[in-house]
Amino acid sequence: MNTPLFIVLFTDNDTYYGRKSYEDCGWKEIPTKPIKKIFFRLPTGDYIILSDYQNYGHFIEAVKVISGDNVGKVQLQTAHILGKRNDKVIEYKVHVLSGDIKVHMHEADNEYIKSINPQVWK
Amino acid sequence: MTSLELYVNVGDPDIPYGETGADYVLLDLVQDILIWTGVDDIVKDGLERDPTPTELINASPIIPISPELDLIVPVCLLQDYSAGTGEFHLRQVMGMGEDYKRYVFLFHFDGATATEPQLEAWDDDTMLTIVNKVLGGSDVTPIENPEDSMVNAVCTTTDDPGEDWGAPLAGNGATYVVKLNQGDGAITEIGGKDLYANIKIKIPTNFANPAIETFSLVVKYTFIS
Repeated sequence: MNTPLFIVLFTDNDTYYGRKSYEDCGWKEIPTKPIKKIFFRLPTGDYIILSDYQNYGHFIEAVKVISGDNVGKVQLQTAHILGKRNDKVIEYKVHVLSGDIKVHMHEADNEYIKSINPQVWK
Repeated sequence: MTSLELYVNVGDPDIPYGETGADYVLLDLVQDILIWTGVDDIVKDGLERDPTPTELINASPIIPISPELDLIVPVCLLQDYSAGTGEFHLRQVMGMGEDYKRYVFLFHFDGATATEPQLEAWDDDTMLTIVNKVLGGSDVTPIENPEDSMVNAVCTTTDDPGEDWGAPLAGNGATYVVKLNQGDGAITEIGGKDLYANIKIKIPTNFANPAIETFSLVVKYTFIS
C-alpha cells in the first residue's frame, strides 16, 4: 500500500508520518514530545487508533529459519502495537500478511513487558 | 532492521568469537549443511571432499538397546559448501553437546532487539505443529509431547551450561524454547550483541520409530525500525 504504516498526531497538533516498509518504518525517528494519538495502518487498509496513552510502542517480529526447509529465509511475522496507561499495557499483534489481530492486556510490571527494550516506547 | 548471522565454533569451545585463537565459521544457511552423526573414520573433521550418501549412512550413530543410556549424538559436522579443492569440506563443531562448553553456536545480532530472541523447533517453517517423532510426536493421543523432544538446547551467553544440560525444544511453550540472552530480555546495545547456545540431539534408549524427518530450527526475534 502506498500510505505510511503510521501517523503520529502530537498534542501541539504537529504530525509525523512513518514510512511504508516494516523493515524501515521510521518509528525510531519519532520526535520526543507529547503524543495525542497514533493511527496504525493494518494490512487490510483499515486503521487502529491509539489515543490518550502515556506511552506508545511499536516493533516487528521476525523469524529466521536456521535449519530445515526454506533455511536462511527471514519471515516478517507480526507487528506489535502497544499502549501503556497507568499499570496496564494493551498489545495488538497484527499479522503482517493476513491482517489477523490478537489483543492482549498485560500488567505493566509483568516479565514480558519489563523485558521489552525501553527504546520501543515513545 | 536488525539482522542475524549464525556462526559455529570449529576451534576451541572455550574461546569466544573475536578473541585471539578463536576459529569460527559463518554459516551460509542456504548452502552449508550441519551433519549430526556418529564417530567415524571417514566422515569426520578434515575430509577434503563431500561425503557420499553411503558414507553418511555408515557413519550414523547406533541407537542403544535398553538398559543402556540415552544416545547423545556425538558429532556435529559443518559441510562447508564454499570449500575448494584441497580445503576441508567437513569441519567439526567443537564442544557440541558437551558439558561445560559455552562457545559453540553463535547468534550474532547487528543491532538492538525489542524483546529477547529465542530458539524454537517446529515440524516445518509454518510453525504450526510439533508432531515429528524427533520433536516428541506420537502416533497416539496426545500426539504432541514437547517434553519428549530429542532436540535439546541451552543458552550459554553469560555462563557455561554445567553438567547434564538441555531443555527440550518443540513449539513455543514457555519451557520448550530457549531464550538466547540468558533471560535478561531484549538486546539493548545499539551495535548488537553476540549470543551463544549449545545444542544436542538426545535419542531415547530403545527408540523404535526411525524416520526421515526434516524439522525446522528457527530463531524468533524482534526489532525496532
